[in-house]
Amino acid sequence: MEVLKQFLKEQDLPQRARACYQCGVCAGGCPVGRWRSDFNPRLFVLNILRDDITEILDHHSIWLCTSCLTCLERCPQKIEVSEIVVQLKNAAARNGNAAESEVKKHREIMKTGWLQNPTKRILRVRQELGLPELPEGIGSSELNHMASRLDWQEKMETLRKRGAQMSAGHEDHDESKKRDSRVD
Amino acid sequence: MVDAARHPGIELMTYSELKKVEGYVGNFHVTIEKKPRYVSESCNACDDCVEVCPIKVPNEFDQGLSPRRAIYQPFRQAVPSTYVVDLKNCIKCFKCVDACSLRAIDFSQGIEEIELDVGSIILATGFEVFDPTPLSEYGYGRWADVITGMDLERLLDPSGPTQGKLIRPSDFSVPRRVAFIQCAGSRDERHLAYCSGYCCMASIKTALQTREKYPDVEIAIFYIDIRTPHKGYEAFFRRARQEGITFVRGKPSEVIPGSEGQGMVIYTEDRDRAQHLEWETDLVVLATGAIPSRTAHELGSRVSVSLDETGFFREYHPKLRPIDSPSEGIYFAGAACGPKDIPYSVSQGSGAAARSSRILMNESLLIEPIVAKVDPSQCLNVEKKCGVCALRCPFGAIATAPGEPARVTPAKCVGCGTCAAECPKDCITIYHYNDLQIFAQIHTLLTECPEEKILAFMCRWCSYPGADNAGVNRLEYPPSSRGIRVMCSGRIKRDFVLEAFRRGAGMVLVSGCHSQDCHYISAQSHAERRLKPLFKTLKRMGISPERFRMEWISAAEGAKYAQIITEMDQTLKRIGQKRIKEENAAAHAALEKRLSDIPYLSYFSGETRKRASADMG
Repeated sequence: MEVLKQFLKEQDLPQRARACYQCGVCAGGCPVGRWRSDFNPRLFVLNILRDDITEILDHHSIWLCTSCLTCLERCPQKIEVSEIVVQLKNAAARNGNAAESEVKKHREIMKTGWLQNPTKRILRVRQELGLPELPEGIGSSELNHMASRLDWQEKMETLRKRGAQMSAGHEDHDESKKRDSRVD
Repeated sequence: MVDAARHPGIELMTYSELKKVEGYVGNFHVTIEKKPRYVSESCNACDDCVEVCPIKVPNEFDQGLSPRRAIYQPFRQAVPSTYVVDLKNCIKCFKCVDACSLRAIDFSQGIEEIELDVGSIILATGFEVFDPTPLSEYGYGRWADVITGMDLERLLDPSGPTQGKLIRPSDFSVPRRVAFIQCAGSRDERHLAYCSGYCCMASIKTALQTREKYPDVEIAIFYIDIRTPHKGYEAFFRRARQEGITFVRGKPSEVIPGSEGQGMVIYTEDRDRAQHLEWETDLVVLATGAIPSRTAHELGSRVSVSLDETGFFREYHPKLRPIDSPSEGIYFAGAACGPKDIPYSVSQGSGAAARSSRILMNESLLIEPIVAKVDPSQCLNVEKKCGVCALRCPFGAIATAPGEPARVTPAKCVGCGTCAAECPKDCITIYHYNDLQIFAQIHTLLTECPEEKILAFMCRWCSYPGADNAGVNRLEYPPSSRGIRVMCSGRIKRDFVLEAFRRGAGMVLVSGCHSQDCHYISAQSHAERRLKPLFKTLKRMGISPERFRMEWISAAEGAKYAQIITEMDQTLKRIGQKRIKEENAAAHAALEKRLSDIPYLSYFSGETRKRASADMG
């Protein structure tokens, strides 16, 4: 956890959140918060200010953020709430807590080059419109080439491993220094 | 207002504008432009003219909620009660002229200029209400049922557009639910970064007023923090809670029309329960913040009083002299220098009147002897355009007419010395803190073992008392510092620092008030701007830049002073005397060249002094 706190400090996150006076405008306007009471951007900021991020990182609700930036636009103290959530996601991923859907998305991109596979409905509509059939992905050889040059596979593996290590309570500080922080 | 108009000692000049101000405290000469009303004072406010006027325009006093004619009285209790013709909207049909039985309407009136000699000036420009249209999330101007607190105030007024009946603008029905949104524009970095101060109490008051008239209306107030700092305010807040007004902690994020066009919905967070809340209501009232009067900027430039970053007038000192402007004899009342509520405005108005009478009751005014004096024979402004002194003077005490030497008005000057430090020809003397005196102090303090000394320049208000504070608190610091007191860090010339190094000083410290505490408004920032390049200059000359420091120390920061001196002493020891001497020797030629054009420095050179002491001996 200390490593992650350090990571958040490197992103200057607590400093950027410090002007927050907890008015709740972010939570009030959040389209996710309207449906999910456990998604509260104000509390995310508050937890960062209180230096207590353990719970949020384990919490899967941070992955619900759609980055609509409503909070950013309405914040009277110009705090980048959405950016804070993005960094929390990064920290959670380093902790091995990436949401299943995110991991799936990554795999999908590396496999097909698509962020999202066309759904059955889309395929049906295409057929109705008489559009040509879609290929099995747009080809991801270039992506894979780039990924291999960047040791992407290896990094993903390390991340996964470290996540497991962290949850077991063994943190390897030396290793964390060697790793690129932006792979998540 | 009626009282003021009836007072024998007060002459009210309404519908008039201050055009020009000359002179200084006790001797202001002002030019006032009296605008034509097109109605003479024989008007008895019978309303005959209004009845025949065919023009209808929105009534500004009623927030545009009711119409008025082109000839009108601003509001019923207006002083004077004389009507006025709004020439912008008048079509000059002259029906009013025919209708007036007193023949009071006179379209031949023109602008009248009045010149007056006055002793002091009080600026009471008040505030205006923020237009919440830019707060697009609340939809003011888009949804009819989103109104401002001021609109509601007019609606509840028995002599207002609805005779005191509360209606919602969309269908003129009486709303069953009313919600107030606090901080509409205030405490918002996107709009007004400050707290407007009055809106919490204003909303609570209007909410209670609504409750009294319509006991069945549900009232909610959405807020970030409720601020009740003055006497009786907290009790009033308590009463509002007891009366059943709902207070929801949470700044609303959005206001949208309800489903099927029924009422409005406020999206907010109920912070106490950390829950998203959709609050249904019929009428949304925005507690809009206060903004400076739109005339403030122009008026400020006419009386040479500057505005602060919020656009209100800047007072001499926010804590110690909140009523005074930087120019002696010009004072503020009410919301001219920041949003205020009624009791605070009244007390400030009384204060300003007392400050004025202090000047008006005396035959003469004593001022501090520390003032600037320009040597007219040296002033650069005679030959070409210079005006640096006038530009930098935080008090507008210097006038530089083209082709004439700069002229200081002693009654306006406070002796900070910024002009003297900035003058390119060194032709401004600050009495009691002149260059010769300061150079003499530099020389005397650096007579023996200068390379072991830290020469500290300290301002009279913050750093010097700060150093004193270190002593009073018995804080220990190395005995290597020697202090020179000046009125303000703005007085410190680059030459003072360079001269200290030429005399072989080990270290030089320049200290003054923190920027926001400067007792001469902006003089400290001028010092900072002026002295910053010295780090580079010194480096170029071969002197380690770490031997020069600029620090801002307040009067309470004795510990900081002690720490800075301790740090500097350590640096001094680390660099070592040998290297300091070498550096000084290396820089000597460059320093000599730089300081060669200061004639009286030769007075301090060894020979002159020897001769002087021989003469004395």
